[in-house]
Amino acid sequence: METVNIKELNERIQRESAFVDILTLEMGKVIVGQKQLIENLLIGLLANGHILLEGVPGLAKTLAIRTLASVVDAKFSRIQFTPDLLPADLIGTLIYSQRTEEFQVKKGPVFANFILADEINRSPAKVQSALLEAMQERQVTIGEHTFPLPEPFLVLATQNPIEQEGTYPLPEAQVDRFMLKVLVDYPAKEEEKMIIRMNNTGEFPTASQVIKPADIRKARDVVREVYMDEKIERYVVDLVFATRKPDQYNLKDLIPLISYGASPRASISLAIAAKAYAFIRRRGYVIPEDVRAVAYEVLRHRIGLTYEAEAENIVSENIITSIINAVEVP
Amino acid sequence: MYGLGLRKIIVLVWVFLQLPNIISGQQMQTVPEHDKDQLRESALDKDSILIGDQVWWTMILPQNTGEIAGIETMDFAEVPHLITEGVEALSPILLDSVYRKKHLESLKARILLTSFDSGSYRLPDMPLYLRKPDGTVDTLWYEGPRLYVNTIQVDTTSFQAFGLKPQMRYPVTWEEVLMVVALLAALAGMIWLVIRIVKRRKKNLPVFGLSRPKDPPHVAALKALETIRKQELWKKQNVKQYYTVLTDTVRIYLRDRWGIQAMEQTSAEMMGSLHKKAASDPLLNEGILGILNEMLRTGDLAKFAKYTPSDTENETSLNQAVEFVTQTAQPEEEQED
Repeated sequence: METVNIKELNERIQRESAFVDILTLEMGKVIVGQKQLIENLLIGLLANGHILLEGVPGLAKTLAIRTLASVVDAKFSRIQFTPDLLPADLIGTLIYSQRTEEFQVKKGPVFANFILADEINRSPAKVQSALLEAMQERQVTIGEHTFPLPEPFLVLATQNPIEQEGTYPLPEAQVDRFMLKVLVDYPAKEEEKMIIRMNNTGEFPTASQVIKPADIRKARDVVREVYMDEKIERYVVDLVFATRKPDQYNLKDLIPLISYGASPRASISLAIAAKAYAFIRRRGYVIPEDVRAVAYEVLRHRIGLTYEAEAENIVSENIITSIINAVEVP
Repeated sequence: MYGLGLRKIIVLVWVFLQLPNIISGQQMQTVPEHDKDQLRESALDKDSILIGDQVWWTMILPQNTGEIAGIETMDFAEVPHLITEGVEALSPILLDSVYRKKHLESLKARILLTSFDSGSYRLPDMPLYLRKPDGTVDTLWYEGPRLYVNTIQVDTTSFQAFGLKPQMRYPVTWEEVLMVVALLAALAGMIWLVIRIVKRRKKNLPVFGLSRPKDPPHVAALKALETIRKQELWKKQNVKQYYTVLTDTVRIYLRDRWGIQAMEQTSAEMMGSLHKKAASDPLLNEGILGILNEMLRTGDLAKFAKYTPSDTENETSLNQAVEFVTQTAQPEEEQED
């Protein structure tokens, strides 16, 4: 029998999550709007999961992650993926030193805490694989030496949805390795007015460093301890199973629209992301709202749509909405 | 050498001349000389027909003629398809015979004939073999009648060709009409049954028989809450189960009372839906919504956060649910509408 002292855990979470508000506040100084993006960055950071960002250019994706790196006092790298990029450009290579007459390791930009892999679908599969392997293994092998990547290690990859020519779309198996897929939308009118004002004055606010990487590692441990009841676990499994066998949840209409459902990795990601969300909300336990809050980000890139769905302009968000509206909440 | 060749030619010519008979099967026997004065009469239904018409050839052996006394079996010779040149048999010999105590008493034999060539034909004589108990066989002969086959005279001076006639339509029989009516009735019955099953299933009613009037949402909810109170699950160390049943009862009430999809909503979403309904429903005031919110929050804590409420809190939650249902019950006149 699992014994969890929720009261004590709640108090601990109240203490450990105190930085969340400060961090959000600092980021809010630089990033106008994009609250959902910031929240998802935090979820990825706390749940130790990588994020795939999709949005048109100019929506502060790079600025957001650069700001996050600055408030965490972490190293940030931006890698622009191009068709001629090589795996060595990413992970590093061995360079011959004439002075020492030895090969020396030259580490690539992947050795950073926060990495923005810009337009990841512009590079061929071998480069994508090199990054995705680093994401999965959290270590890189150059020559005969294996180097662990720094902690925290968070990759944010962007895909440009409006340019499809000359791209190498990520295979489904690779996309599955991203914990969240976040759609970045345009700011609201008022927010855009503020952005103009900030740029016109020329006085760009800067975010202060409020947390250290060690604090993130500590917070991650607490996130794992957030209590998830068996009822919530069943709810998570139901949501994921409904993507695979919709007919078992009175969703026969979805059968011809789904070519493949979410993987078990989706269940793991949904559970840990819900815990991270509960942590951000300063709660020591997960409630169904937490699961729902992260369901779209966790599931949208893991559901395969059929040609029939595409012909009817149905996107994975429609499928997730139907599932959420059909699966009984505990 | 030459003589042998001529003999061969003669044999071949004889075989060639006999070929139609060989091909057509058997050949009709001829009446022996000593029986020619004892020929019996046979009759055609009509002695003249049009080309292609059909006619029955009948042979009768009447009772008490003496010839058939003590006869065990009788048989006609097998009839070839081509009875004679120009006349064809369309049926085998159809016998209508009466036996009594294993002895033949009377006999009527018929063959259906037709012809496709005009002219006068003498039908062949027909033998009838009568077998007696001692094994001897007597042969009776029926004389073949004459059949006239007429053709249609065509006036070639005014002859005009016509197209083919359409297929002859037979009148519809009562059996056919009844069959169609029965099929349509069965089909209509099945459609009615399917529609009834679908409709009744949707309304959650039995397919046949009268349905019990459903309790109004608040009555059903209050009954369920009363059952929960009697069960006192929280006293049996089953707090989680208690709050699951309690919140599910409230959810069902929300669904039936306002059509809110509460079973698939979280507590916050349920409150959001109720706040939307509050704009048009004066019964949903802030006070009562606050009571429900408190009950749901306690329920969430008990269900998802291992929170163990005190006995007082448990009873309060139940009372809050009862109060919410009682205060928001649908008035009688609205129910009738």
